[in-house]
Amino acid sequence: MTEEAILQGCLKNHAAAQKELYNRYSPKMLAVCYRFAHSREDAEDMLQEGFIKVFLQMHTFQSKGAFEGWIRRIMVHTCINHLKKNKRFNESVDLIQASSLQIREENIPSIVQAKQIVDCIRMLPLGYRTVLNLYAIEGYAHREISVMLDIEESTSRSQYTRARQMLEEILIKRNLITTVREKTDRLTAIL
Amino acid sequence: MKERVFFDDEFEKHLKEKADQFKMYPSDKVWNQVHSSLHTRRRKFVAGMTLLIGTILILAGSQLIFPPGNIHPQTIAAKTGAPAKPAETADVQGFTPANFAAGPNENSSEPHPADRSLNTDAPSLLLLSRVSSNPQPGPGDLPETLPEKLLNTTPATTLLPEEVKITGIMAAPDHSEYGEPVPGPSGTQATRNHSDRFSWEMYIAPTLNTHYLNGLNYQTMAQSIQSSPIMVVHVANVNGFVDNTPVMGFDVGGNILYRISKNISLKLGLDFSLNRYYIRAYNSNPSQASATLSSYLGYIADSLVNTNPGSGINKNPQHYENRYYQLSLPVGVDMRVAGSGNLQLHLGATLQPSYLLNTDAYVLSEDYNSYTKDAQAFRRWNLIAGAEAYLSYRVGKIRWELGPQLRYQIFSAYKNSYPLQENMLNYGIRIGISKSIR
Repeated sequence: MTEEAILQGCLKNHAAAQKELYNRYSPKMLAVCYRFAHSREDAEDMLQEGFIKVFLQMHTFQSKGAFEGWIRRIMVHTCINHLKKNKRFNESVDLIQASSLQIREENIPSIVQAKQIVDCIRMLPLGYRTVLNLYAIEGYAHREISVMLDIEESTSRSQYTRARQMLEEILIKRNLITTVREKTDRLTAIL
Repeated sequence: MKERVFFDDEFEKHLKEKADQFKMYPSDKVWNQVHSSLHTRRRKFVAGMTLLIGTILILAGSQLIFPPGNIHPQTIAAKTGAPAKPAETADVQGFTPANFAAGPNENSSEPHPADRSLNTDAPSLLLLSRVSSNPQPGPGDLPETLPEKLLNTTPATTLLPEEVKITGIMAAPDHSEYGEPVPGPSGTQATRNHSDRFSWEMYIAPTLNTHYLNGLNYQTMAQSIQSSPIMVVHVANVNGFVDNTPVMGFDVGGNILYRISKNISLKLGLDFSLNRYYIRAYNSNPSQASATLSSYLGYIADSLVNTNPGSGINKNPQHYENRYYQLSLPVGVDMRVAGSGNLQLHLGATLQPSYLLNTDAYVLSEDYNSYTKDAQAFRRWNLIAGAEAYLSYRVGKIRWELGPQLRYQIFSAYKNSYPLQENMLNYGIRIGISKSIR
């Protein structure tokens, strides 16, 4: 079934077309929600709410961009709204002050499983995790993130810096990445 | 949203790649809840009707299974064998159940003249008639013992000398305990109860008709809206594409009711209704319009082409009227929920298989530019759910009924192959009369 046929069916409120669309995109979208959520249950709640919005707002979709990107943006905004209802989230995003940190140069080896990366991201504090998800993975700018989360743009930047540093530490501890210095040391030792 | 089109470094690039590779499969309940949220209107209606009909059926069932106790005052009048005494000094102390039961046998082999003047008050009808019609009852015909507290003398002025009246509270006599049902003095009480179970009613209800459309294609509508003859251009609301002003119709019919318990009746009837609504469109010279019949995903299966009356550039909108004449067969229950005398409150619910008598209504063309008449688009058989509440007031032998009623057409007026769904709803005030069949 083509995406166009699915869209037409969804516009006619046909359950079969809606189910087809859901089956096609729900695995990816649940993964998006899972990176933001406290738990799988929360992620499923976000997914449910997001898909209801998708179907109800379907007529506003203009075929200028990718449909998946449109769904993804709805999901991300749904996740943020869901998190905003949580007082702890607001505190964790707003209060943590960032210090200027050096960004190290690490790479994530291709053999690392996606699930391991996502698990590491989910180990970050909620505020860090949210900013990192929005900036590094979803591609939002700090200015946009500041609007979405009702924080200062500088706060978004500093949150991201700390989030990334913490994530790198977690990845290193789990032996999922190595630092450039370690690589250099190894090379030096070898040479 | 202005997404960043590049990433700061390789770390972020790889992080995104890895994160995007991750997939999770949601549990089934997520889709179930999404689906139920998207189709709430029909679900709410079905749930509401189910609740209403279910409640009525449960109440009806409870009435049948646990009928209210038939305990009411009884007056028993019987002839005693004691010597005649002045009524003022009737010796109740000397009266015992034994001589009460054996009295007629011991003292008189002939029916006493007083039998003909026994008290025939309604409450004592059954037991009294047993005594009066059976001048020589056997010892087993009455309970062997009667509580003394049930014994009482009636005012002397109403008693013959040999008559003792026993007044008290006791259960209504069970016919099976005494053998065959005993006819009452004025005829047959049991026979009358049986015939009272049937009644008929006739009604007429001026109704307001509305209808709901589903399945319009927003994008196609948006593209064609500039040339659309339809007046309303509110794209976000499907039902805004037609004139939804309620229009008067009517509903007339009759039912036969069969009472299955004190408060519950089953009913079966015949109903004729006229539902209608207006369409506003620009009049023009006839042109070709097509109404596509398609599968649920828009794959074209067939296309109907007809001459339409409503397309063109005339600036003056015209009113066209869609009329639906339907014949239906209401089957349901009627329950008395309050009142037991002249004034009563009833609730009723019915399911009505219906048949569409005419098919000359207009349907919207596939490009939403025109209306056309096409008989092939309409579903002949449908199902209507009805609910009503009414007050009934007895005047003589007739009961007058007045109250609101609601009827909803469960399936679309159009066939499944037609891309639109139209469900009719009408509500009105029901005026009727009913009468027991004797």
